[in-house]
Amino acid sequence: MILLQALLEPFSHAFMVRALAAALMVGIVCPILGTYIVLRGMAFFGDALAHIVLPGVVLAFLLGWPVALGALVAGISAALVIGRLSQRGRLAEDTAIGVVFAGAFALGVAMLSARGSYAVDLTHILFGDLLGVGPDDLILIAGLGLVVLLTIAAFYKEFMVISFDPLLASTLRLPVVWLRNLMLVLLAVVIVVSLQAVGVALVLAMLVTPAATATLMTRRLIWVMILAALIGALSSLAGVYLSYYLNLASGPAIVLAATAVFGVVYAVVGRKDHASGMVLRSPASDV
Amino acid sequence: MKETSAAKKPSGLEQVIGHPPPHVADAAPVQVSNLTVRFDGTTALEDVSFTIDVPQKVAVVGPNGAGKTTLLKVIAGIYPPTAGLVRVYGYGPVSHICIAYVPQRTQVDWRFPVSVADVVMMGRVKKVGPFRWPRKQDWAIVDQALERVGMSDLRQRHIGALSGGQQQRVFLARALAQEAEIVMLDEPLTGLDAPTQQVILSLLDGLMRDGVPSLVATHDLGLASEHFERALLLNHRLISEGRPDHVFTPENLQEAYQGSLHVVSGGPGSMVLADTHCEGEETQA
Repeated sequence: MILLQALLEPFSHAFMVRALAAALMVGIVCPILGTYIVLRGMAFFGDALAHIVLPGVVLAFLLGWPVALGALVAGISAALVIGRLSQRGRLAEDTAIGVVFAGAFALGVAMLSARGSYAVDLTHILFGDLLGVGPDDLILIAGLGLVVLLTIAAFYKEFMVISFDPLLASTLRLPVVWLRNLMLVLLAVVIVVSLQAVGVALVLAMLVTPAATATLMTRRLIWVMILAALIGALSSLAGVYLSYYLNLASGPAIVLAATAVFGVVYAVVGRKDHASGMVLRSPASDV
Repeated sequence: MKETSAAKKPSGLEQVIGHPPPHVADAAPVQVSNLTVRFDGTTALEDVSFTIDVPQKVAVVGPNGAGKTTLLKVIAGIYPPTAGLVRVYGYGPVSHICIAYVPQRTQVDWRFPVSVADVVMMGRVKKVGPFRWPRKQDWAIVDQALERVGMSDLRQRHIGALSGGQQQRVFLARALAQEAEIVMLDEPLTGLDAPTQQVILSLLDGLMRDGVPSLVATHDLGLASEHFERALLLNHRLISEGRPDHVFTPENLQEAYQGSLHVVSGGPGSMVLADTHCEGEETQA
């Protein structure tokens, strides 16, 4: 009974219920899209995009517009610009992204530093402000999250093909560039959804860590997504409790929970994989 | 002959929704006229012309960097020609969704979390259509394709856990599930032992009997001359094409391979030692 009381007590506060709902949504949506991000090797891109959103967030904040709107506009336009830049150019893709990423982030921080409440605002933007999620925020998070999930359900097999074998996508005449841009837009939306829960600095963890954990556990894409979502949701729940009872910042608490799950799974499964003789083919000399 | 590939480019969503594969009755499976392909100023293919007018197994042979992969990709509609004309059953390649391309094994991410059946199902993604998940009849077609290449038992196996020959068979099954009317294979025989090569070749024979031609890039002159009805000898330009025993003459091979080839003549036939890549390769022709 005491345990049950302890489990239910945080949610006698309305703000804690909203915090949990927002955290669960992020914990489910991020890992599902993150599965494609992990498989496509786009982790750095995702991290960069999260930071590039900052000037948009700050500008909207300073102008009194909805913060999510600023983030969405900044994120989607940055995603499409980088998507185009990286297709052709003299710079390597990660170099180009690195330049834009660091510059935009500095711009956002500089804009914010002109204000008096700089330190508090910056902390919230970087690491989230889960306990500050209002009813309107929650509607936005749930709505955008649902749109992302439905889009992934609609294009699940197309996204799988462009990720696994772009040449097949090409011979099937799938619109590879269009699908890739759609995925980048989804990434920008997911980052916006996650802003309040875990902040720009830690979105990457929610995108990558649960999905990476799940790829260690199963070898079918749909199960990777389902497991990743379960791990993400579990981490969110654990993070909210940790944050309530140990008085930790909630975003980092969620990420730490996800990282702990990864550590356990890696320790158990990571080795078994080698022992079972499941040796992944190393790229043979190109003949 | 109607030009469809130059018609209005469909929007992204229209492309997902798809279009029927066009055909001209009695058109040659492949017709290539004066094809030139350049990338950033380097010429991959120069003025290549040939026609495949009956279903055959066609070996595409030449030294490393001769443009073999480029030729296959242009016919598959993956790259556009810089100049010249490519027709598949009478239409531009990009208006077909039934051209299968089997990539080199080194180009595939074998860690990707998909089973054998999943990979074969990918061939049907366009036929299943947008916003839908595969139906029962799609899985039935996948099962038939796996049956035909003898991989039914391994349908749930992860693709990373297959041997080289099994991997090729899965990609051939994918071409079957795609209902391919022509199949391109990039170095499918490289690194396989002889019995496994025979399995792949007899699967290609089966396709040929069903009216499906295949173009196979290979380094192996011996396999090309023994097992293929037709050969294209390529080194940016098309040096010779036709029956393999007519194509692989010492003169033609000398021209294709230049310094990296040694011709030892004498006796009724001549022995050709081709040494075209890092592993080295000795072949009798």
